Amino acid sequence: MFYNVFTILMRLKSIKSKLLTVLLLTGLLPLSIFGILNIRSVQTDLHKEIANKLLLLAEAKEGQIFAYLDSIETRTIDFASDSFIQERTKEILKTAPETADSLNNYLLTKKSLGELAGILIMNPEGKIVAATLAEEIGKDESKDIYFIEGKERVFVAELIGKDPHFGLSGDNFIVTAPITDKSSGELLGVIGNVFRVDKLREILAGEFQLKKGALSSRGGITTTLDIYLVNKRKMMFLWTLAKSRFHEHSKGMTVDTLPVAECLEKSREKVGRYKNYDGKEVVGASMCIPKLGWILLIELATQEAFAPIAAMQVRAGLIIFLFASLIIFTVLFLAEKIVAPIKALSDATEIVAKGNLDYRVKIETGDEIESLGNTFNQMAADLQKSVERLKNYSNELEKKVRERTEELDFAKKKDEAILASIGDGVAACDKKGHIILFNKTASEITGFSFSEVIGKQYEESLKFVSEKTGLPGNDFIDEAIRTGRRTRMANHTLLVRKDGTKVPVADSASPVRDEKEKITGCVVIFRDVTREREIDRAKTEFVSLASHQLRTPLSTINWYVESLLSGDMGKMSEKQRKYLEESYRASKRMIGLINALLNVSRIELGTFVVEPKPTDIAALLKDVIAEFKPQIEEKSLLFEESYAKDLFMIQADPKLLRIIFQNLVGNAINYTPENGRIKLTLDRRKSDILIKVADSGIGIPKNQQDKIFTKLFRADNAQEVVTDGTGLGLYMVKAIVDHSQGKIWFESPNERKGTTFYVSIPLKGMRVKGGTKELA
Amino acid sequence: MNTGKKILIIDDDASLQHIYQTKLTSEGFTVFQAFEGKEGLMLVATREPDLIILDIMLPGGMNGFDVLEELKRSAIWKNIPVLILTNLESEGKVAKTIGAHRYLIKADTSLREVIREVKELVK
Repeated sequence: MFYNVFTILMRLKSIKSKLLTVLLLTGLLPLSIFGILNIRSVQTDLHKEIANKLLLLAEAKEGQIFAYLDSIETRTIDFASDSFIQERTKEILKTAPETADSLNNYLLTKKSLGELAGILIMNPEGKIVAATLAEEIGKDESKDIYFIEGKERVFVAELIGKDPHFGLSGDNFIVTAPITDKSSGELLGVIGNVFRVDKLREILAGEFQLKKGALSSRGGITTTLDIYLVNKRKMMFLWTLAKSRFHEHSKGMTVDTLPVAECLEKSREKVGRYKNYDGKEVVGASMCIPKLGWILLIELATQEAFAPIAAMQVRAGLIIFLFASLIIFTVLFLAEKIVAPIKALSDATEIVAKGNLDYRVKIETGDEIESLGNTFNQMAADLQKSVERLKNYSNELEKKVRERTEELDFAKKKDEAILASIGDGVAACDKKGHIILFNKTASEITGFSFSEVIGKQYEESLKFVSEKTGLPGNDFIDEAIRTGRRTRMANHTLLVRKDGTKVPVADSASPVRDEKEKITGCVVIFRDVTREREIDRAKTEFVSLASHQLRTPLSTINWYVESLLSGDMGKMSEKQRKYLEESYRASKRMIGLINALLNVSRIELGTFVVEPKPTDIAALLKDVIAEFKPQIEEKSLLFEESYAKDLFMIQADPKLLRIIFQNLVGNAINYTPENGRIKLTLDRRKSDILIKVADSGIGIPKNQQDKIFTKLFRADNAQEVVTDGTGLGLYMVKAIVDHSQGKIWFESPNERKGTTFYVSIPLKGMRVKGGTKELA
Repeated sequence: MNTGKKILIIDDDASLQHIYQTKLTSEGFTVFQAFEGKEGLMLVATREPDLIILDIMLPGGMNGFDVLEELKRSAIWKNIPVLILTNLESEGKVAKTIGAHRYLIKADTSLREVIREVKELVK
């Protein structure tokens, strides 16, 4: 609970209110509680005291009443036993009432004093025979209780309202006593003293005392003390308050209050607080006088009774109010003192925060807040300095950024210029395949503008298709991104332009890596190779055409000569024959040259095909050697062959193999002088087949060995031996071997020391190679 | 034997045609000659040869392949064996695809070999 209060407190918005609330709570609250408790206890004490006082008073008053009653009874008895009265009464009874005058006079003179309103004497029948007032004589009191009881003993009773005596009724009373003959004891009559209630009132009211010379009578209690008597009919018949509304309407007032009921019903005397006949809250004590059925009530209005309490409360209230005011003023004053500098600080912070760094706060309270103020000023000063420095840095930075931007701009423009001027189409894409770069040539080739392709998937603008199948050929781009390797476009790739026309292109895709070697994209470079293709085609066509044109006359020569040589046109002389044979050979050589040129062209253009099929290499080799048999015999060469045992068919293009063998064997034969030796070996090794052609020929000069496989190259010593060699043979062989996944090399210690050529073909065999032409 | 067998030669080279004729006739064949494609096809229709020797480079709008295609398209003549004799290099595959039986290069083939082939094919 306290925590909640506390949190609410802390939400108050100002120090003032916080201080105020706290002080008020901590000051006033205990004070109030203390005050209330105090008042309560005082109230209780007072209550007790008053009750006690009232009780005492009631008891005293009761005593007084009893004393009074006693006195009037005694008086009455005295009267009753007065001999004169007795005598006279006796006489009156016996004789006529006239003689009562003397009794009356006697009564009058001797006996009626003060509160006695009158005396009357009744005969034993109840008739008044003598009285101090003539009008009383003759009344019949036989029915009245005081007569009946008075016959026996002294009796006090109230006068009933309906039966006035001596002009009194109601609240006054009569005391009766029997008059008995002294000697005989016979009842002579009943004497009745009618007393005015005033005396009792005086007694009760304390006036009697005052009259008798007492200095005070009210015990210090003031105005509302009400002492009154209530009879058994619940009627107030005696009151003491002279002037008050009590008085005005209390005569004949029914008092049906709690203590009255208690007395009459339970004979219980009460002291406490209750509501009196007027409905007012009173403190009262009751005394029951059962003898007469009277109830003595002493009541004090609680208002008056507890007036001191009220006063106390007022005082307490005043004190609290003063205290609260004191607190408030103190707080306000104090708060002002504390809050003002804080507010100054807060305002200063706002000002500085808004940008006015020159502002300094002035606090001279001499306490911690002043030191805070100083620190603040220091901070503002430092801030100012920092801001200055920062401004300078910022300016510097701006300048640098500007410079750098210019540099970058320039570099960018340079790059753009370079890119634009690259003759090839350059397109770059990111990892996801979105185009991020597209140069001018790319636009020209594809027909898409830069803005049409940038950011979009490359497939939309770079549409490569295979020339042969028409299927998309974009895989090489994906492959580059995926594998991180540079890939080439497949041959015969076409690019579909924006307008749908197809353009033959060539080139490659490369992955782009960042500094961490992660693939971030791809660069595709492509060229419109229409021109190249045309040139190629022209070249091949040219070559084809040329070879065709060259061959045609030669084949005509050949056949005609052959026909002649076979004797179709008749017999010839030996000389004629010889000449013709020369021609034939020459033309054959020419054809060989043309074929060689054709092959070289095919090799250069990469257009030759490789069509492997299961080939018996040994058989092929033997076949080739058979072709050369004439030459071997002519030069008397020793030709050895050695074939491995477990040879089998391997995948190879027999035409190409033939060319290889023809060249190697031919070279061996050509460049080995007569009576030389040639050894041919065919071996099977672990993963390949090895062909060895070893000759004892002219060898290859060391300083020319590195050129042996080059196109049109002929070693000097070879030139001497064979004048019309083409220099294309080994070039072709090497090309074929390279395209067959094989290897070729040679050993030749030096000139005239012989040469050995080695060719290895993998057991896997040759791979299919697409091309348009076969080699001749 | 060879007598009676008709050979149609379609080639625009007159010298070669002469030697073809001389040689083949001396072997006993009957020789018909055409110097261009359309002429050749007409002769196929009229002479019904047993073998056609076909050159590729022909004038007149139709080359040897066109002629071959035509032959293969016709129901009657598609079975006549065709020997392509040309100096064009390596169109052999194409020729075979269209349906030629043999593809020889004149410059690489001796006359003797040609005669042998002819005899072979005519059978």
